[in-house]
Amino acid sequence: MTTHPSELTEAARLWAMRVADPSFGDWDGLTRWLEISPAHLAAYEAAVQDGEWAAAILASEAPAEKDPSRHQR
Amino acid sequence: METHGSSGLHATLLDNRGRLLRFLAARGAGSDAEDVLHDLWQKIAVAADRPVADPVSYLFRAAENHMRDIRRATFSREKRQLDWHELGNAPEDEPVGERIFIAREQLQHVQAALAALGSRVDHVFRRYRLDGVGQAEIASELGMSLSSVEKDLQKAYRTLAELRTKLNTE
Repeated sequence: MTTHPSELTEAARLWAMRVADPSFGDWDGLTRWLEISPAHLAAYEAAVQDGEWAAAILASEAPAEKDPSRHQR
Repeated sequence: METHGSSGLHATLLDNRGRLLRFLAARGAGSDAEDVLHDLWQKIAVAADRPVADPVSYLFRAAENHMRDIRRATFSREKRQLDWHELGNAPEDEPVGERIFIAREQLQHVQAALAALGSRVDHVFRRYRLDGVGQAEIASELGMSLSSVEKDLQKAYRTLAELRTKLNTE
């Protein structure tokens, strides 16, 4: 009920991160967590968008940039 | 538990209907969950010709992706309406060169933020998000524990979320 905003952000981020795993299976756990409060859904969607934002940007890298360990930058 | 074609998937859907409806309702469909599940099935039935290894996970994953699609569609519709009201301020109205410049700059920020977390975190995040490799597989590839992989990912996610907020408010 009285989750601190930053704790909620962290929890939502953890869910968004775990769901991104192709072998994620705790859908009922996610359901129960989302049902606790509408704020959980909003935080979850924001976290999902953060992850998609970063992945989409990185996907636009030129092929030569894709392995940073081999390139001096 | 492998399932072939849409009839097997449909049986799985019927067996798990309650769980899927509850998920969809909590995931933003609310009282429209039944309609959303119906639409989702129409979408799946057309596409599902290949065998599905884990039909339950497949259906939940499809439900999650469907809710993301709905949210994206709603967002771009609202944005179009907003742009209509605020003529001239829409990012779409920026010259193409300007948009390419912004995209290039964002990429450099993301690359720098990941590089600053160290090459292992950088690599783990890329394997996970760009290559679609699961945490357990990354852990065995790198000889790390599952919890270390998760901690690395958390660092990357947190840093990139903060970066996104910073770039949006600049």
